[in-house]
Amino acid sequence: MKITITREIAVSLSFLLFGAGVFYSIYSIEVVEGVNALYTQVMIVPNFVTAVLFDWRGFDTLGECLILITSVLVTGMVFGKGLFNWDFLREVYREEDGKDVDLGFTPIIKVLAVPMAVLLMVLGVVVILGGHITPGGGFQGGALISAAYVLAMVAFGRGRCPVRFTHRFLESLESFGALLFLILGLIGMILSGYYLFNIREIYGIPLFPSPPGIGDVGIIPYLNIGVGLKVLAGLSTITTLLVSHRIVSKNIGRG
Amino acid sequence: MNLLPLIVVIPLLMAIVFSYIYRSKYIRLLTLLMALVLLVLPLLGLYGPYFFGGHGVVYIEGMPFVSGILYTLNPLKETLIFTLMLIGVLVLIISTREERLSGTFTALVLMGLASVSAVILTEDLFNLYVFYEIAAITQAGLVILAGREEAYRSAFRYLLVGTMAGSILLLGVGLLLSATGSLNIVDMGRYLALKPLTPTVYGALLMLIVGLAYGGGLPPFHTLKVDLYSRTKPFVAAILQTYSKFILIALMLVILKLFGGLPIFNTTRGVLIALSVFAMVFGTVMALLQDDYRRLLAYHTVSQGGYVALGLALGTPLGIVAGIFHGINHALYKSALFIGAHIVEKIKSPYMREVGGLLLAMPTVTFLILCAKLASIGIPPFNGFQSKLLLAEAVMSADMPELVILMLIVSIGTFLYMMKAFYLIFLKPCSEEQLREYREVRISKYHIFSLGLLVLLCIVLGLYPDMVLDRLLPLGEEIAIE
Repeated sequence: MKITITREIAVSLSFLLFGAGVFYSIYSIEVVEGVNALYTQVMIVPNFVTAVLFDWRGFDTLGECLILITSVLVTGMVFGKGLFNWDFLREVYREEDGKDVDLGFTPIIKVLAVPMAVLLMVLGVVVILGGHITPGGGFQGGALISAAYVLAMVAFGRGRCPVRFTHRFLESLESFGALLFLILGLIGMILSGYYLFNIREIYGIPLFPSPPGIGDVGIIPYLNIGVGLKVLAGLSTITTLLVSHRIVSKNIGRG
Repeated sequence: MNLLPLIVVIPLLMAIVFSYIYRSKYIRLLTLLMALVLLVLPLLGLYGPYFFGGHGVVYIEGMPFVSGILYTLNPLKETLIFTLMLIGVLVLIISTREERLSGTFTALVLMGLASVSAVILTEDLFNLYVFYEIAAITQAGLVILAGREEAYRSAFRYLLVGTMAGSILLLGVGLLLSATGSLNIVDMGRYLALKPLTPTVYGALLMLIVGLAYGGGLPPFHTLKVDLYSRTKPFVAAILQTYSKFILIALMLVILKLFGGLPIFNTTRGVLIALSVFAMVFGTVMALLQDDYRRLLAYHTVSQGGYVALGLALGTPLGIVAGIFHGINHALYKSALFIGAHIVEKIKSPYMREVGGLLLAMPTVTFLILCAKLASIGIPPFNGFQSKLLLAEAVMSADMPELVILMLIVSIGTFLYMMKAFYLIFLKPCSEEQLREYREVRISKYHIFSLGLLVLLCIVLGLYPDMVLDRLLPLGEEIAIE
């Protein structure tokens, strides 16, 4: 008992010191413009944030996508994929019939959830496709679409959900989104020698049809679509893994 | 054309493919093929800078800035990546002999290889953070794969602390960005040397050190790493410890490049040396107490991580070279030891007192493990001797003779527990019946091949250390602090 109190005092003191240090260093912050001056002066696409994310620092965005992919993979290790071939789970899941439970939401929720989900999905598609012009982009749009899916799933349960994505479909979508990003980078490398080079046009044909006056759009919309697919599939996969144990039964060789 | 990004991109691409086809029948074959491809990767790049997206150097108010993300390749990085890929290849080869292999294991190993090589190659602090985070999640995933409750628990704890340590590192990166206006490490270092230091920079330095301690397994985060190494399958621990050792080297080099020329570096050096000394002493003392062979090796990893950090923290050319050389050597002999531990666990049990007399059952493996143990203690003609000698020289020339005495004592401790483990597992007499039991277990040729190759490399590097040292020395002088 005595040891724990000493330890707690030591821990809180060190947290206090560390916190004070962090607070002091943030309090006395002075922002230097540096290279950011360039990002605001050169126009690549009207949405400057997208320009920084997908053109100047495209490889970082790829890395951020891969963080999500790895997280989904690791979540799958615990709840889905990783259970492939585990024998003891067959024992555990033998008794259950794998039916989803209806939580008994009132009709009000169910009736409202469908149009809300549809609206959210449409908004998500718009945000992804217009990511280079208007605020938003792949991450935000993908998150919106997956939010719609989660809303429908929570309201109706996985079995009777009006928006039906199978687990395999989501997996394919996620892999496709990430591969699209990686391969677009490789194409840039083949054409110019630089990975993730923003190819403006091939033989005079612009890569993405857009009205004049909004800069060199190039591959940015496609990158946005890739990220969007990846994020929507990744977040939805995590939710599906958490709410349903049909994937578990599938992976241990039943159903 | 400079194919440098392919070192990172090909493993990433294949990781996604492997995670998609994880139930395929041909996973074993594909994994072997992938292992061959990995060996070619380090040869792809050309020395020099590589700008992503074609965004090169721009001049703003007369100051050169790198506008995009910069990767550089030099002999030092090439050597590190080659070692990393080699150990990854051996682990992948061994994994094809495991029951219940699925594509997810290969995917996670590839993801880890790609992210650690990106951490080594990058000259951009935010890019480093992104891949550092992927490496942390990957390590937790590899541990979860062991499928035991304790493995789940340690991986969860690692991720939980990782969320905090990762965010602190990110905050540090953000503070440095606000203080210097760039994310390129060289640009930042130059700016910091020109302008007077603000509290923001001190805070950022503190946060980078927290990130370093978490990623590299230095105190106070060493127990998390020990749990990771000891609760997964030992051959997976071989690749995990390589990841964290190389992240440690990369982050130490970043701290040297950023803060090396500043007046606060003397204090920083004191903190880093204190951390590494703690790692050395804690690791050795705890390893002496262990009964579980995997845990013993895990604590040994922490203590050797202390050696690597000590060399790099000195900041002298010799110290940097010795630290990196010891990191490479450590990755080699420690992987051999972990693969040996995997064989021991397969045959009987990881608990040292339950095994005994393995010498009679498998003399070749015993000999190879003995060689790896001698290398880890630092006995000629193995590579551990060369790097420890170099480290001692570096510490002596930095006027810290008391640290040399400490290193000697730690080495003696290492000798004690390594020989204790060797006696208990291989030499202790055992019954005839037990021996028959041992002989029934088949050890795959792949395991013995990997073990043999690593030990051979240990001997070669012990006899001809110049092969690596010649490649490290010019870079050591470039990074070093006057």
